[in-house]
Amino acid sequence: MGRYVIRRLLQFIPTVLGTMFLLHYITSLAVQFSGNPVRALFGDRTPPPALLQAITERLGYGDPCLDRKGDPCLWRAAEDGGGWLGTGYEPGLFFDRLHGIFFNFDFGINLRQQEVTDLVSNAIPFTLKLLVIAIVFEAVVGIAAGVLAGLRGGSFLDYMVKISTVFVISVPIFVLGLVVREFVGVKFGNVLRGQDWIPDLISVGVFSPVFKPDYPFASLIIPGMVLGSVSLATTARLTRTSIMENVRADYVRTAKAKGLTNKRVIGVHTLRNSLIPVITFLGVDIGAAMAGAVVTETIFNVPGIGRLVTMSARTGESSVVIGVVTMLVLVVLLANLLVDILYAVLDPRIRYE
Amino acid sequence: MTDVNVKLDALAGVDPNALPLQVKNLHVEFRTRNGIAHAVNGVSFDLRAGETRAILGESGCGKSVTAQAIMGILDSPPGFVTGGEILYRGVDLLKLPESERRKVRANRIAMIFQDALSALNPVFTVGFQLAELFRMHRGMSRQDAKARAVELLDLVKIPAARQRVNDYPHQFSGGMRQRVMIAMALALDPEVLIADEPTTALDVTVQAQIMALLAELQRERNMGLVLITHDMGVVADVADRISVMYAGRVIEEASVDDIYASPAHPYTKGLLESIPRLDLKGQELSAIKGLPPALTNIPQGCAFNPRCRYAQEVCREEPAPPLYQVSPSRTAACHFWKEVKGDE
Repeated sequence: MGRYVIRRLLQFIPTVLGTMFLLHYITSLAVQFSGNPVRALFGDRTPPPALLQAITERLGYGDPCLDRKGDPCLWRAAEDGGGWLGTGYEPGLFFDRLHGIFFNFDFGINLRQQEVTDLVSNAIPFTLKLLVIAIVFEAVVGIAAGVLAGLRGGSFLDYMVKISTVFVISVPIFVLGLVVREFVGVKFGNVLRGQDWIPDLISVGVFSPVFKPDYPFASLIIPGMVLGSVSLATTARLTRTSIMENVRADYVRTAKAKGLTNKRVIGVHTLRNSLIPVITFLGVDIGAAMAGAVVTETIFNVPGIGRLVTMSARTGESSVVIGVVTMLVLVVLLANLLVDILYAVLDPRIRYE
Repeated sequence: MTDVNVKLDALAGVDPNALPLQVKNLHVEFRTRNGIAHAVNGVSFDLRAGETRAILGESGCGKSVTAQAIMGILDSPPGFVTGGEILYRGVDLLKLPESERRKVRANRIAMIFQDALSALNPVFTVGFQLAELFRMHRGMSRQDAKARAVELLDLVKIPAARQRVNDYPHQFSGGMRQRVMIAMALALDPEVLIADEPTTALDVTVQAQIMALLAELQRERNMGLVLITHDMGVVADVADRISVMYAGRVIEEASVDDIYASPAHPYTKGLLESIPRLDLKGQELSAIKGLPPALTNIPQGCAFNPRCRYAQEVCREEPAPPLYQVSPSRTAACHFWKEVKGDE
């Protein structure tokens, strides 16, 4: 097991480097094709060339490779002519960035000269709260609905679960988010806010159309549920299928033949086996939920990682995009590794060598 | 033995002198979308303490369904017991409420399944699955129950039981797994053990060991054994009496010696003739022609008539042949049992 974990951790290296290069190249292309993002700081005014030049250098967009369309910015001509191993070239922008991130823990700064690490550490608590709400919601409601539907296949409840999950799966999250914001947050919320007897925590906090800093947890409940809803449908369906397969399993029949109560036959012998695929799905889904958070946070104006990356991508702030997405990739990789370890814990037949 | 007395008190109406198991005119049907499958159509048999009764028949003849009906573990729906009685020491199990019925399972009537790998829960240790019986039925603590689990593994001759009790089913070999199944079935000292093809999934040498172990444990405990199988060799070795089933009916019932010496039903005869024999080497193996009927569409009259070389017009007419008394201790459901038996 230890060796397996080490091997998996080593596999992170090429994945992270590859992702970083892709991000680096995409953001460099954006600068090369749409021009220096620093210009945006001056709006309509034309800055003095010397000032523009100075700020551009200061913010890290001064590398000449950013003027050559399509240049991956891997190497630059060495100033003294010698360069790396006498090739005349030395490591370029990409390697500067790697060096900064991995040796100095310096992710760079955004256009307003804020440290990316500060931006991320300010944003991450909101995203974590949102994710916890989403995952708890989809796990509790999804598994409960799946178990009930699976135990009574073909019943009214089963059809309800089937129909509602198809509905949720087929509506994209940005449509669902906008609709919920408009009808639950604005329309229904306004009705609630018109009633004096409803506490503000509910009417202003929970049913707020956007994130409210005064209610940092309450106003994340509905965005969290929107974020969890798509995976909730998948969780419910997965649980349902898994339960339906397992209630007919031989070992469940054995459990019945042992004279165990129905509660124990289902709760211990059926559920433990049925939940193995569900729990692995939930683990992998943390990564998908982070991707979903980009959309949800933007819709509900939550100042989390997702909104940070959306806004930075719009203004072409390469350092923020690279830093945040690299962190997201690491989180997803770690989550997947945890899922694989958890899988071996849940199912003793699985052993990693 | 005090343990047994405690158990008997717990179930009202138990007559200690009655037979441990009597099945009378049992009917089971499966209500499926494609119609009703008549899986068991009036099966009756008795089981004495210490006796081994083999239920013999092809796949799909209703023998496993009979066993599941006795245990009360039919998948329902679609399976329903539609008639008959299942008597445990005079108490009709079919009339008991589920909470009482549950206590009969494993305590008084236990069952061994065919494929021990799928019949054992893959995610719990063998020790947990054995100890569970003592914890749930006897209210023992985890430690005491675990100690009893080790004793049971010892009883079924699993080497290093103390260590192996913490292993998972997939860590055992096929034969060892079946021993674990046997240990589980015998845990609460049942009076009746139903073994549903206990050796089918095993290779021949292991089969013999498992059957010997079963026979030994049965002798020690004077336990009634219902052995469900299609293996004529196993039956000849261990059974006292045989019920041959075809299309959900018992078509012949006799002692093992009588059946092997002179079968009185053409189906039994066909089964016996289809055993490969060394002295007939080089000759074509005789087989029963055709296929067993679909249980949704059982032929009129004698269900075996389309495949039977003795069949005549009367066999194709309702009602199906009754169980004729062939001798004081055996019956056969064939109009022509005299010809079948005499024609040797």
